[in-house]
Amino acid sequence: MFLQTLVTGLSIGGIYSLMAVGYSLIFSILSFSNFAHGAVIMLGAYIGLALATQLHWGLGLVVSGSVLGAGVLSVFNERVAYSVLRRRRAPSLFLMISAMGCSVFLENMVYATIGSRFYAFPEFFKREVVSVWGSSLSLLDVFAFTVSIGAIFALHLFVTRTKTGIAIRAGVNDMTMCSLMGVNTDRLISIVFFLAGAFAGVAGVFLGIKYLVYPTMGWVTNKAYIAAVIGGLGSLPGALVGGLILGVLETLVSTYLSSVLRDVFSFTMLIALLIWLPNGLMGRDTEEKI
Amino acid sequence: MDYELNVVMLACINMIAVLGLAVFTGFTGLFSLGHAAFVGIGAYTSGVLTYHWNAPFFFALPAGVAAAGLSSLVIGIPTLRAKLRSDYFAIAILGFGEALRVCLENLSITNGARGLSVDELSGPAWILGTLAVCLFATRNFLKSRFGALFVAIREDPTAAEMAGIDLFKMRLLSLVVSAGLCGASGALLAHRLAFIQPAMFTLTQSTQLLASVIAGGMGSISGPIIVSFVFTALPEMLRSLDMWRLPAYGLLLVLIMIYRPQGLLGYRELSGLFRRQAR
Amino acid sequence: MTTPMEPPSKPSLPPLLEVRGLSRSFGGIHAVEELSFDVAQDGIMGLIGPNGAGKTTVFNLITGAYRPTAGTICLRGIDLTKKRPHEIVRAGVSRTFQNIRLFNRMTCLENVMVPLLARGKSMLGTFFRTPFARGEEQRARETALAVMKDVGLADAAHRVASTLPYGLQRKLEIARALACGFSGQGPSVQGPSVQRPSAQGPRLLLLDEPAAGMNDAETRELGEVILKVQKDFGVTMMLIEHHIELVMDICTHVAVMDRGTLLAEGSPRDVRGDERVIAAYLGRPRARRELERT
Repeated sequence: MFLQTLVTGLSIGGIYSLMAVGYSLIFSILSFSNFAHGAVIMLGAYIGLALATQLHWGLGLVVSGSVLGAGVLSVFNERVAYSVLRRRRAPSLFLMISAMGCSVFLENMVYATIGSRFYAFPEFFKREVVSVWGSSLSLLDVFAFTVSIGAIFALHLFVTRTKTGIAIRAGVNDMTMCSLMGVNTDRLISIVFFLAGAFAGVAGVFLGIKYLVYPTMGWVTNKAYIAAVIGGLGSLPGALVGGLILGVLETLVSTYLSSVLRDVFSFTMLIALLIWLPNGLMGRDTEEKI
Repeated sequence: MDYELNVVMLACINMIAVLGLAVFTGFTGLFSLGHAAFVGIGAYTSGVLTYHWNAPFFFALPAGVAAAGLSSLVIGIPTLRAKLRSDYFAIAILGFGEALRVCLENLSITNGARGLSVDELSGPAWILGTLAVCLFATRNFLKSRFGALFVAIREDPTAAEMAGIDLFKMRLLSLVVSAGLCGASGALLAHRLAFIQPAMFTLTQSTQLLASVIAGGMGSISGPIIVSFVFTALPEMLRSLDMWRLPAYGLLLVLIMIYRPQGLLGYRELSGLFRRQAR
Repeated sequence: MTTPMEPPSKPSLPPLLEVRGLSRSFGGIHAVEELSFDVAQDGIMGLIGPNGAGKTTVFNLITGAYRPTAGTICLRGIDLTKKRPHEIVRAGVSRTFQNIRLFNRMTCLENVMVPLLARGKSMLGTFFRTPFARGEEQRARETALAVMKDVGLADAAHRVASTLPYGLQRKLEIARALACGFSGQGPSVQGPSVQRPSAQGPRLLLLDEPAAGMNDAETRELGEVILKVQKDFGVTMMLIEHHIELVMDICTHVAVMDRGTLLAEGSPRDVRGDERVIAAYLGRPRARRELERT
């Protein structure tokens, strides 16, 4: 029973991690919580859905299409809603409010145009059950978990091994310095937003297959945000660890206590963490300079 | 006529909540993505009192105010003491609001997600009277020493602290006052609509409150009030466009941040528009 | 704030501020290490040293902006290390900032009133503007105006702080810091200026590079203001400054810091001749030239 809970928790946690990476990537470079990320994930799911149901593409193509679409959307979002603010060096709160506005706008545009109907993906996975350590798990969960971990690992390699990745990490430390050194910061930021959007696309498709596709499905990303805070906003390994921890803890709470308490638990944990461990498990220490 | 009256009454109720958030955000400089929770606490406290115990409204209304004020201590004391980054604070309050909504949806005394049907007790006299009292008291409060201290904190929290201001106490005071005003708004709302349900007090509503304050202008009372009236009344008048109201809010927030971060009457009042710039 | 200050310049007074073994590290880097010094009553103590020596960190530790990793800071025997910043202000320590930090959208008068209003007593009365609440505000306004007059800012009272020229903004910061020492409750101030020296006014004023960005003439004028304030308000001062000339002119005692530790201490004359100080400043031709010129 406990092992089953653990495995289920990890599989949910994998998707949380996938979404948390988007928050962390953007926070690491612009120091604000991009609340529009949930809407990008939702739109990624709709793009995937359209490709799967209208064009009858296979899973691989659907995911690629969604990755591309959500990535471009995310870059577009940055260009329209954040770039002016960041050039003006507006406080990070303004960026957050702008992000909030984007989220409200995108979600309700979907409501107004596509409607509030729930849509289901075609069945990509047979309803087969895999056995892991003696506990059962659906094929989808195994696949989603593997892809999530793989994608995060690939991203980790990208930012530590490639030239662009290293430029991103330098930008994380000092944006002004970076631009003085001749790095094109606009391009750098676009790449980061594209990456975040790409992860949102993958996450959107998985969420859509696992649950359903509807305008407020981005709400789940609140959990992913909590995961990013647990790991420490801005840290990629943190996003992975935070997602897994949150997934397991939540599943434990809903199995052994009550499923109603699950969400209350997550939000209480968010508040407690912000208070006692604002830098999370792996975040950078930030103290205001006087 | 009845319909128009109803719209105006709803706008007035909303104004009280926006006034509350203006104290906290516009004057003290802290952002909240969870003030709808305080409206909800005011609504449910007063609603439960009149529904289950037949409490008179003149008792239920202050009870709603008090409950909202007290509950703000629950989230305010730990978060404000920890001096969270301003965006973290906004998120912590968001967490509080969402946790509260889940609780409301699952308690039996609130009748869960189906909502509570209460009596229609707050007539125009109650609404206009409460609005007048709230406006008068808040204006005085913000003209007093507390108003100056709040503005100092908004302008530079570190310098304010080094000028001898007890940052924690003042921010908490601002939060309690603003939550109390939201509570009054909630109590009036519950007994105007005669129906409340947890979905009425979510992040979307908190964002609408924040949008009114930001669009109306930081450090202004009249700006947010005007904007909140327009925000409530306009979509009600244009019922057929109701669907586009929320996308418009979202778009408006982004546009304001980009083109006019100071809002309609940033750091000014309507009365002072042609005289001098206030703080 | 109510204990009367002892008459000034009595010989062999105990030091106003005693710093012992003060240390603070940030993630393994020792910004301040094992620092001990005294600040004598009624003097102006200069704190100099190269950039990154930890001077501002010392101010931040004294004012409670940072908590020390180790060590004690005592103001007349009262331990400040456990107190929160506003309590330290009430104990009589106030400061200015290296990068000017004013309440930009408030008027100058309001800026100076803030510390006075922070000590106000009116609570519920503010909702109804009771005579008590209004009287309190009136007294704060009068005290603030008197302080501004003493610093030479009387004309700027109703200007918005951010519109002031740079030099006046520095003065306004000093006026605000001075106002921190007044209770705002005392008898209403009469006549052209504050009655002084009195039980009021801060005991220790920390000035963080008040002459930064000023030319020689402005610096000289600022020096005069500082001396006048010292005399008028009977306040002890600590001064971080890179204008060596100013330090040598107005300070009664100078401490030199380098890499978080105290390098030398003594009268301006002693410090100027100290080998180690010259060594620490070597490679900074301007500072060295100034050191030699004075």
